[in-house]
Amino acid sequence: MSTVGLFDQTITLMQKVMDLRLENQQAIASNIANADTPGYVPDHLEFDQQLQQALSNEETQSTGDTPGNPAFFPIDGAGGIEAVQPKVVKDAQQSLAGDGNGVAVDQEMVDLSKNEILYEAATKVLSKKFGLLKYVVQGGK
Amino acid sequence: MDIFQTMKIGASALQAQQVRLNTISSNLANIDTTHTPEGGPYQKKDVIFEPTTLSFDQSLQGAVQGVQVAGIVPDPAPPRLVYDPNHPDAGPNGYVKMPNVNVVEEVADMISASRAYEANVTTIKSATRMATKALEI
Amino acid sequence: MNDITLVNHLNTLSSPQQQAGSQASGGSSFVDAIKEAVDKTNQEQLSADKAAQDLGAGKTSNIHQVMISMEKADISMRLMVQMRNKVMDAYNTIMNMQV
Repeated sequence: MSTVGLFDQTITLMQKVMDLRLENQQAIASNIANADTPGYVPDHLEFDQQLQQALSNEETQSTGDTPGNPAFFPIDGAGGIEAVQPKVVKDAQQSLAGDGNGVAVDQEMVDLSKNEILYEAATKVLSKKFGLLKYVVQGGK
Repeated sequence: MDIFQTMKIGASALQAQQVRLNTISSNLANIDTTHTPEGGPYQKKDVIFEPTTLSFDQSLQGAVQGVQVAGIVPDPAPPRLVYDPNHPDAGPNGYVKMPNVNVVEEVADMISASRAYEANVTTIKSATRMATKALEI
Repeated sequence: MNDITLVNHLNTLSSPQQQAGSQASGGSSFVDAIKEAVDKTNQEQLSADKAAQDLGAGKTSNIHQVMISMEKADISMRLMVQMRNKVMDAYNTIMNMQV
């Protein structure tokens, strides 16, 4: 009996999402902190594409007796979700400010809120899933 | 990879903006100072910011940077000349050299610094909320 | 005589388990499957403990990682305990059978 099968792809994904969003928060915070620094080029992290790719990879890998049902096959996430790395993208657009600073603070603030909400959403999903597992394990009590 | 890193970045910015506000304050306070111990009128001070690497996280490739004050330098703009022959600091031709501080510029700068300060406080609060929510897993 | 019958009986009972258990452990007895489960659960407890200690001592500040490890350890332990209860119930049922 292996516990790998207990914790499905969604849980692995949420864990990865939380890691990525934590790093993203740092990148956005850096941009906001350097909003007045001359010559500063803001950095953005991209990982949505990679995550979607990893998800669809895992689905195509799990063709077995029940195709397209990843939760039942304890796939080691080494090549899939767990290997996703964020891509650092520097803003290509030329800054309009005279001092060469390229940070759009209002956009960064919006990104900050969005990132935080998605992090907290992942937290919530995880706690619901764990709650459900506990309920099931204890036989409905 | 660390939630506290986010807070440190915000804190570094708070510190830098504080220095900037203090400098602006000093400029405004000395807007009419016509002589200083170094001789000549008060010179407007400018704050120079530069990014500082707080930690080198391999996966982020140096994208994590706080901000620090590189230096406080006197503004090279020439002093304003005001004609007032009766002023004790008047030059030979009756002109007094007044500080090169422009009230409007300073106030605009002050508003910008306050806004930046608030934005970074929001960053820190947001990081705190994220960490607290993570504890509720 | 009773004991031998009991072991045989348990082995017969455990043969449907063989197909389920073999995909994970290849073990052919119930005891092996239980042992593996206990080991895995223990591993999870240890790593959760280590994560908590690191957080407490300031070695790491990755809060969500620690919380997730602890939850996983919690769930595996609960599952373990339930399995134990079921095994005890099965054992008691067998022991109470009139031979």
